[in-house]
Amino acid sequence: MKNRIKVLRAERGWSQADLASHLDVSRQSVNAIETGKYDPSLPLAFRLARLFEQPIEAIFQDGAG
Amino acid sequence: MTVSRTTTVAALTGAALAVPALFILILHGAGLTGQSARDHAMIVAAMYAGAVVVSGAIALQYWRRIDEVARDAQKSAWFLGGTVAIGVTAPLALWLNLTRGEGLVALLHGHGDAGVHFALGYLFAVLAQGAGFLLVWARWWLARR
Repeated sequence: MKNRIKVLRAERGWSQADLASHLDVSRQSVNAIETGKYDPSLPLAFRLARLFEQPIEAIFQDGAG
Repeated sequence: MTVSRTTTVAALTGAALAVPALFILILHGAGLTGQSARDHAMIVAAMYAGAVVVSGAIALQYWRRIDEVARDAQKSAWFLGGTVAIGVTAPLALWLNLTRGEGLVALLHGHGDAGVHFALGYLFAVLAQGAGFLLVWARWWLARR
């Protein structure tokens, strides 16, 4: 699943470690999600959406639509 | 999945009591006689109960501390690594069965009885599953770097 996390993170000047700290996950987890190698659960996706103040579908694209 | 502290404590206490009790029952059923042998069994059971509580508490704390990605890695690694390890090492068990354990007895230079051989089999299964876990766990994270 593609996502815009890297862009949104860069807009705020955050490192992966910064984002990991905001989400209470590890930096490795942020990297796995950001590179599309791990699809987060709905609760984590909502936490991302709240943190970036964006709807979930503006952050994640499943590529099917 | 959220596990309440009360449930956790109850589960650990139950395991700490039930497992050694079962252990003692098995030893008793195996014809354990004599005060010294019973004392020895009680010490082993008490140590085992302590190990269950300590390792259980550490495992639960670890599980609570890690995030969902790390939990998925753990689940995949135990499922795939554990089951594949048992499948891969099954021919060894079949071979030992077909040869009546002659290879194992030769390896032990004739030492050990059925209990020792069983314990070795248990240890081998744990080690095989642990190795399978480590391989799949490392592969899981390497694929997501």
